[in-house]
Amino acid sequence: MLSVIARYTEAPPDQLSLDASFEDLGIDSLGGISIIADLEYTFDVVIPNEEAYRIRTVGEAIESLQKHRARSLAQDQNPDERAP
Amino acid sequence: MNNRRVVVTGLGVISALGRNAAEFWQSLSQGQSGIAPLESVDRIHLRFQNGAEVRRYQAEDYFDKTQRRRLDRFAQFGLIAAREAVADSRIEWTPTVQERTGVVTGSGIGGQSTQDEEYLDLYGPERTRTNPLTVPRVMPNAAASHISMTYGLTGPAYTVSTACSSSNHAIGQAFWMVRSGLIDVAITGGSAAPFSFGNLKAWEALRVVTTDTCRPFCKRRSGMILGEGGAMFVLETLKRARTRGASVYGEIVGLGMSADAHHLVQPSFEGAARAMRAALRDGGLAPEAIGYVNAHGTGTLTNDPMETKALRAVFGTHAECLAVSSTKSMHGHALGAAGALEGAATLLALRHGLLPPTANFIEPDPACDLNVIPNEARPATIEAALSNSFAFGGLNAVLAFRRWDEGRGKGQ
Repeated sequence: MLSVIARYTEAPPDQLSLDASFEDLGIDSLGGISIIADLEYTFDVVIPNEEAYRIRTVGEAIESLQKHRARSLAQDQNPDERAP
Repeated sequence: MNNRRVVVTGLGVISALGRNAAEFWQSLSQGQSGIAPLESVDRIHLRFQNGAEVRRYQAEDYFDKTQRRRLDRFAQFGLIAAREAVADSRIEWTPTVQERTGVVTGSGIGGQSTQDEEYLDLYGPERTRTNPLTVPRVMPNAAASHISMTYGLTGPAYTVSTACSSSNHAIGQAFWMVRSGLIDVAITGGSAAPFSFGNLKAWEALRVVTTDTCRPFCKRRSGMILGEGGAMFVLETLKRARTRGASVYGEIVGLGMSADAHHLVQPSFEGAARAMRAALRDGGLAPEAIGYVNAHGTGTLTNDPMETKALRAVFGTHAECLAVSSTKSMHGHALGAAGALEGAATLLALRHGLLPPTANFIEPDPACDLNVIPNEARPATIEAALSNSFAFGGLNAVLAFRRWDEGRGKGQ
């Protein structure tokens, strides 16, 4: 996940702090939605707009991704529980 | 400069609210939204489901087979609106008039449907060549070219492409050309047909289109809804309109333009305010003369508070008296055609003394504390109005209109 975010920064993945805001990293709103789109594509999840608007830090992006990834995996294992 | 007064003597509209100007106005005046689940594309791979489409549109109702091969949907809408506007104006084309008539259209994205269809197979293994008419169908100036050819108009003709401000910039340029004496007549407006799958996916990725409906200035707004269609005006000098006994819809009195020079997609209230002030200045209007603003009002989280702040900066305490609505809540955000549809709505509002509402409004937002005409049209005799367009890329264009009252001899 960090390596995806690092594509948009000058810093290598192992130097990205979870507390770092996109703004601190020189990433503006367009960079932010690009990162989220990249994470969605790489990990095959969908992060809704209203949640995406609130993501401001590396940690929040990862937390959102993990939540939707876990939901997606659970649905794959229990297809009957998939939301209509 | 020899400034001449410029009036609108013909109007044509095709949109989600109907196939002509009368149907467009009927829906607006009743607060009926044309937003509904999309029919022209497969929605299964889209995160949003709604749009403001021209429902059950059949090109063969308007164009023969040869024309259909040459016209993308966006150019068809432009030509349909121009046909109505020209017929409505009852203008007679003579060689002199044709030479003194210009065509200026707005288009943000040109023929996206054609581009999508033609390139789809090309990038796969199925085809190695595209339709030879791809280029003339896709070009954003296609509508202007077809209008000029249809009526033999040989004056200046071109297309302005400034995303969501395209039509306002176009109408404003045409207005200035007629006002200055460069031409005597103009056909101007804009058209858009954004419902191609690739384009919709691009909008989806930008995260500004809502999965709900368009609720401008409402606390529960969550984004814009795309729309399609076209609107065209016949502009001419007041003197010419009088001489030929033309019926007048209203007067265009000002154009204001500005650039935010700030951000690709984050608007700045200073830029919007500068454009509104410039339109007032160009039209010789005091802020207090404005009674209605057809807002840019996209229904996004960002635009509506920004526009509220800009209106308050320009109008001060008069903002409390100002009626503001976003008709995008009904005809959707028609991008390159937005200013044309909204200019038509503004002119018709002045003419009928009825201000179209902001539909789908549920709950006021303290950050958008304007008089937004929620859900029901409001009778009001307004002397002058603004129509705002603020584009991605920070390019702003605002038109100022004045009511025409033949009975009172207004404008003598």
